[in-house]
Amino acid sequence: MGDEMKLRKEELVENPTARVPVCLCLDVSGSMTGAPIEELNQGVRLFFESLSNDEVAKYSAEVAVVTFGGFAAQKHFDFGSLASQTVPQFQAGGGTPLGAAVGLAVDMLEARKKEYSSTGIDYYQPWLVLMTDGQPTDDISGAASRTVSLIENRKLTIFPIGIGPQADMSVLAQFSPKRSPLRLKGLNFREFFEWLSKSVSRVSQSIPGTNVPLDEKGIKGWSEL
Amino acid sequence: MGSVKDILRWLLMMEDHAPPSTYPNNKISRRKEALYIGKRGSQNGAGIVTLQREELEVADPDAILNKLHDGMATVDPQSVRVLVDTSSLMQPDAERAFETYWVPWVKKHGIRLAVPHKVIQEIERHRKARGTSREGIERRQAADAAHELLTRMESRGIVEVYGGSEESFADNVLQMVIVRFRIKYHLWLLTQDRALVADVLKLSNAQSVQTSKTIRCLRIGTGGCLQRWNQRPDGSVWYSPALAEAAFHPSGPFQLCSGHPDLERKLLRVTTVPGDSEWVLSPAGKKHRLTKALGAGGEGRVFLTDTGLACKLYSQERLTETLRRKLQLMVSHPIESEGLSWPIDLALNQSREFVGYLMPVARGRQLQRTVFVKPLLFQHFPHWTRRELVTLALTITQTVQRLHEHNVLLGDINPLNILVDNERSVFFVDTDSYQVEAFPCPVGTPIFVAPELAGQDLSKVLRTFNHEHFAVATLVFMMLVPGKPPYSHTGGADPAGNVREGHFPYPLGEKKSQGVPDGPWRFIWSHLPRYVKNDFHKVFTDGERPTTADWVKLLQRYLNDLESGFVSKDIFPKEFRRVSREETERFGGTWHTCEACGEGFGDRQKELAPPILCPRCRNRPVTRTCDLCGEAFEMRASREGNPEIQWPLCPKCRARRTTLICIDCGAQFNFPGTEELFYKKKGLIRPRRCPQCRKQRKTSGV
Repeated sequence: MGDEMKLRKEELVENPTARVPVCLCLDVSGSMTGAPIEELNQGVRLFFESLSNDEVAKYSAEVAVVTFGGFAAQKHFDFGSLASQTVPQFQAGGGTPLGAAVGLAVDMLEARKKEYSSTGIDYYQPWLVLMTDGQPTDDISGAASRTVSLIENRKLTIFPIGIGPQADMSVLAQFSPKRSPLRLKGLNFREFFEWLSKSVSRVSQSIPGTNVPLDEKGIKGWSEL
Repeated sequence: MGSVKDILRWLLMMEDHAPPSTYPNNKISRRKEALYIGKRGSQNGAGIVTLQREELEVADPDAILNKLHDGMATVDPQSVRVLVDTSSLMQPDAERAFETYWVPWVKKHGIRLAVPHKVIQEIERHRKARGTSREGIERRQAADAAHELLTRMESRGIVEVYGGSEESFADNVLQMVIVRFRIKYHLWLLTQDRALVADVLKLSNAQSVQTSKTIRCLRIGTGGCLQRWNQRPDGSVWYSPALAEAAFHPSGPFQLCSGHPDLERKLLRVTTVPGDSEWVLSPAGKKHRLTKALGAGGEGRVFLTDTGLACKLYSQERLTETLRRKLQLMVSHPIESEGLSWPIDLALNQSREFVGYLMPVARGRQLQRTVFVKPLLFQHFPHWTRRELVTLALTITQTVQRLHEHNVLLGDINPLNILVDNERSVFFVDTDSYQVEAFPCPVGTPIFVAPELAGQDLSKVLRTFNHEHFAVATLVFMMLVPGKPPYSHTGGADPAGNVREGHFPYPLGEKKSQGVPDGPWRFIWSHLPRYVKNDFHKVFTDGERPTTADWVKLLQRYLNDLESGFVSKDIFPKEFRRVSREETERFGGTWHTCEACGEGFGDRQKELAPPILCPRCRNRPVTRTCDLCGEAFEMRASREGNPEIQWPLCPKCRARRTTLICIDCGAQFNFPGTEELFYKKKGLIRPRRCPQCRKQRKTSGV
């Protein structure tokens, strides 16, 4: 095992905190050029910053990023400790291979869960944050049936978010049988990512039952009906 | 006393404060607050059953009233004013007397005790005195204690210091005050000063015909009881025996309740909840200005106030009558314990509506942000060894024990509610969520919730000590094995699921380790003393739960062993504990010699399969090349000699499963990585038939 891999494994097993794996699945197609992609970049940076600043979330949140633009989905980076990741800067361009991206994201989440399980690390239900501003340019049915089956078996939580007026909400709804997709208010990426990082912190706090209640009020801060 | 004008102003101000309208009518006894009938095993309409009844002799504030006024039940407590003298504050049992009598009195009637400014000056004078005689030293100490007591009572709104710092004509002023106000109020003077009492009583007796109001003098007796001063016809004074028993501390245990209460959730109508720089009132009328926001959560916000207390203010959707009653119960039952953010008083808004509560300020960082994450542990406590860790566990468990002795169940014991200042000083916060009498703790944290409670609506369940003991055991485990939940194991999943599954992977004696998580945890476990491992297995494997007191004793024993050097002081030992030959043979094991390093080691088994390696050598990683893919990988040395693994495969290849289709029957079958190697060595690529068809061909001789 190379030294780097050894370090990664050490970091993984020496941190006993129960993990919340979050995969951001982000649209960087041509239509996001300009203000949208800039706001998205800022929002993602804010997300990483606020997670790193919260000493509890810092050790429990694990973030991976998959983007879809051009013709393919791209794994920007895989799960790992927050400290070792550098925040990416996205460029917009190309089509919207949404199906491939979601498929890749689910693969990554499943692989990470296996790693947790095989090393004896507790983890909470993973989150898939899906953001798109338009129509997919590939076949989404395969990926959608995977997410639907995972969600119904309570093995995945998904946040489908539509950006802007062109986003196809019915497409997003296909991935999410329990939660209807929300539309981002304008380009309020920052508000959304702030809410997301707070929600991640809440997962490890006291709860009245077994389901973590999301901050429903907070959602109104960045979404519109 | 301060100037007459000051006293006048004080007395007039007291008048303007009508009894708070939202203040509960405490004529209803505490029992009704708890929704039960206090007989053993009885049940009330709401389905609450009491388990035990404590014969509490709590000083009923009005009992003093009756005794002082010879059973004149018509005396209205609102017409009584209490003045406190220096001598009584400096009494050794003053604190006891205050807690037993005056605190309940003030909380019930809402009128503070008056302490003239002259008293402050006298106390300061005593504190600064330089006498070296024994009396001098004792007086200084008593003055220090009096100062402490006064400060605390003032911040709690029990006493109010009155008057300016002008020079006062002490006794003269006192008499003038009494003359002026005895017509309107019953005056009670609390003093140990015999001569003063003689004068005051003479004055009061001389004019007793003109008014129905009386003057009484009281003193603090041994043990903190209250005694009444009386005057003989010749003018000399004597004091009565205690007016009420001082034996019981008012903070005796709460009633223990069980069952499934369904408490009312109707919201209170509250106009506004104060925010930054605004202020709250205590029911007795003391103002607290909110100076600094300390934190915010799902329930509300916590502020620092200008009186040195902290204040928790709930968001409007949390303010219910039930919550108010719960806090009222807690407030009327102080638990003075260092390191406990117990509610001191209710907090009201300007319209005197309930909005939150006041509590001592807490110090320290959450357990989750210190002990439970290794880099943070070393950042905040770089010099800690296992000694400090166990001391911390002991401190925390002892605080829990104290609460349990009061029949307070924490309910939600978790690492975000416990703040660590250092290993001997911790702070418990979010105490309003604790379970007291019939008010449940409405929340829980999955790892700490006993398996039998999982999935229930915790706001409708009254926990038992048995449930608590599970949480305590889990907490102790997570402190000794820093941050690792006990039911974590390889092949596990989410925290709640692990608890449900109930698989405790660590070895003990005959029981071998099964699925111990990767990392330093196995080494830490091996270094724990046997009695510690035993108790953990009792809880997590057998379901028998030692009590909090048991854990305290156990941790004390562990601490002793650490201090005498019997056990490893490392928080994160890097290898298994080396067991001596003597110990091995004492427990029925056999002593072997390692083939690699020549060291002796113990094992339960008499015969070991080759290669015979000691645990260290056995676990030493060796790098091998995978026969299938050619990649280098690490494995444990012990596996080399394992006959099951003739050719080494890297984990990826070993885990790979390709699905193939049988050319004969068309069924799908698995082709595992281990078989791939077999085929490769034979020069073939993959089987064409499924195992069943292969067998058939063999037997039919084709």
